[in-house]
Amino acid sequence: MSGKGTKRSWHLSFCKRSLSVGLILVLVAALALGKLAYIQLFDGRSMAQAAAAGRTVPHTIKAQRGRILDVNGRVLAQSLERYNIIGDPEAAASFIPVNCTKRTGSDCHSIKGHPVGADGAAGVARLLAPALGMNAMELGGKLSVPGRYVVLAKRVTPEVKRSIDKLGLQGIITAELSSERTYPHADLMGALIGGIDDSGKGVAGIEQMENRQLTGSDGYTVYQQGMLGQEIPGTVTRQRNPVNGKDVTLTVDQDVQWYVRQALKSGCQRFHADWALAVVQDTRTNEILALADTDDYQAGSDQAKVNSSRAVAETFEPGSIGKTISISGMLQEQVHSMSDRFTVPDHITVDNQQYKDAFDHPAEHWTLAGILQNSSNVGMVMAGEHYPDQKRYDYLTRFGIGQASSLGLPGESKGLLTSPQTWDRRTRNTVLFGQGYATNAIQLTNVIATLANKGVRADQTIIRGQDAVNANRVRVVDEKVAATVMNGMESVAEKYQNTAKVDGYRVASKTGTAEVADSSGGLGGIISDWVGILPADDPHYVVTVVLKNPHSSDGVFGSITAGPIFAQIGEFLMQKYQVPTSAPRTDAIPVTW
Amino acid sequence: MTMPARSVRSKASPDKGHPRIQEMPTRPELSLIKGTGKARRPERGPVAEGARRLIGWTRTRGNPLLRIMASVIFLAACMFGSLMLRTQMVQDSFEATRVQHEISNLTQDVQDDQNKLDQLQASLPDKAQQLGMQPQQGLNSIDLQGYKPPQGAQGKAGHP
Repeated sequence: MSGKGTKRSWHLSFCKRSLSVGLILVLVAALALGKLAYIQLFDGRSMAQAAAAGRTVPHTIKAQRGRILDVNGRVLAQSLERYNIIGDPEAAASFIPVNCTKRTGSDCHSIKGHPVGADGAAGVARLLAPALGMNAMELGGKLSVPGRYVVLAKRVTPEVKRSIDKLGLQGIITAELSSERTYPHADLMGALIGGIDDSGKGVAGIEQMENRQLTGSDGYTVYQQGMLGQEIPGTVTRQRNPVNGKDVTLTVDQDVQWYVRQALKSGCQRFHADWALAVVQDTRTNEILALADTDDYQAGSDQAKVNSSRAVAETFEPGSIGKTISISGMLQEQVHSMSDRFTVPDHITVDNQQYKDAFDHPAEHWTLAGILQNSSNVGMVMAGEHYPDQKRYDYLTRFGIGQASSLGLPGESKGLLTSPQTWDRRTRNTVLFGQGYATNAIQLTNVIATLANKGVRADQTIIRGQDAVNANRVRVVDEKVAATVMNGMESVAEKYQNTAKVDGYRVASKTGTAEVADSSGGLGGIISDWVGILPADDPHYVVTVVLKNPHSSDGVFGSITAGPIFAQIGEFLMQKYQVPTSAPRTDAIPVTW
Repeated sequence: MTMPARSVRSKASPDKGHPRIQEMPTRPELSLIKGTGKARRPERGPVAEGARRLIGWTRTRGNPLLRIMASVIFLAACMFGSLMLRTQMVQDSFEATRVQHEISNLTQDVQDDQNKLDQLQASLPDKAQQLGMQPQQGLNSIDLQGYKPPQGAQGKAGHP
């Protein structure tokens, strides 16, 4: 009896316990069902919205920076799409490679058919290193830092990015779209083109000057992303396309620039000069065709960013080229005519200040044209006797000396021209022959271009479409005065036909040589320059060539060093642009009497 | 002795089918109907026509089960159709994304190739110089000033 009773009570207890557990399970199921029903029927929409909001993120679409082109549309600078490779060290630490078998198919990890052989960051690094061309140890070190974001490589090509995509490292290695600025012509005009910083902003040269034009406006897209950050198709809710930056076309002709640079380099080598620079300007449009120097800065490099083009940054005394300004002023003010006669010794003393010509000579019977042709400092002091200081200053200013050019290039120096009140007894006369003030090659080119443009000075431009030919045109001297000075300059060119002749074309030139400060601070440096208009009878181009510290057994004068380089460039220009040959000269003003 | 007046009232209710006051039938007013033929009866599409006939057919049946079944089948068809369209849309969306990705890749490739071409073009002058090529030196020109065509010349293009 007692055994039966025990068995029954055990059954009863078991049933009760089972019932209790069953009831608890039912209660839990009911709660779960109730919650499910609540979520589905009442709270479903808000839950779904919250989930979608969590997945929905805005993504910036970077606008591409505009290109810089030469006058013929050839690319001087452009942006290419690149990627920054980003690693997630936390995810890399938990990486376990999947060995390749028949079952895994292509969803596995291997290095050239062999197993990876390591877990965690080391395994990721081994897989990634060949694609990035980096050392696996170095990569492993980068991926072994705390955090979830580390830049592994910057600006890799799309090809490399695609090879990384195939490694099966989604969620560990991601790629951010970036861009790279490339300069196909490298050092052709490095400092002139300049460069951009890491944020893509122009910080030097044309890149800086035209930054606003070149910079585009970023767009964005808002979409839901999956676990690995990929876009879920069909979930884009908002989108604004980026507006790429506009292209900037320069007036510089790549061919001319290359040739001028080659001529400068060979000239620099020939005369052992420290550096050389040249400017080629189209007198009809005032566009700069070439702005070259002998520097080898690669566009976009740090050197190109911290240095400016020498043509605008280097200032120097123009030397005898400045005589063209003084004579223009004297003719315009009717102080003299070009045929006025002078008896010119090789030295003169005025106000206890002695002035000498560059070479010894007996008293010569020269006209004003002869003084210009022989580049006589003494003759200029004699001719300037009745030419007031204020007029000397006024004409220098009218020709653009001491003022920044209209190019607007970063790093341009406007030169130095002090007021006549500050001139001492010597300076007031040295300004007559191009000493006592400083200018740059761009200003000097425009002085001569003013004479070529029949006495009208206009803004220069290096950017196509700025319509500089009609902008800020100022008459500096009368057309007749400009023609007369050019006539005198033609006589100068004729004198140096053995060194600076352009076959078939008449040339109006002026040469200059000036002492400048050297690195010690004393006047130990030499600037030799040459500016010429060609053809003289139908001006097309003005070419300026400047050399610093040239050395030659024949002398360091501009006519000997810069002149031949000018002739070489001039010949190229005449052939390239098929300029008609000149008619014979018939109206030469006498240079002697 | 007067007898109360006898009255007899029928309990029968008036015939509902026959109104007490017989109204004279009125003629319908004539009005101007714009348009003719097809314009009066707008043309329906085959789906709309089918649905109209189905509704008409179910109305002829007394059993509401048929109506319910037809409605359920219609709803199920709608849901299925919607599901199919949505699936197709997502599939197309994936396809569009894939194509866009391909276009993006091709654009990048074109950019890179163009850059290589630009670099090669830029290096041409240097390479030509390395090969010993030089720009032409000296002037070659023919002065035709004062040129007179020979007697009897036709002056025709292509036939000097």
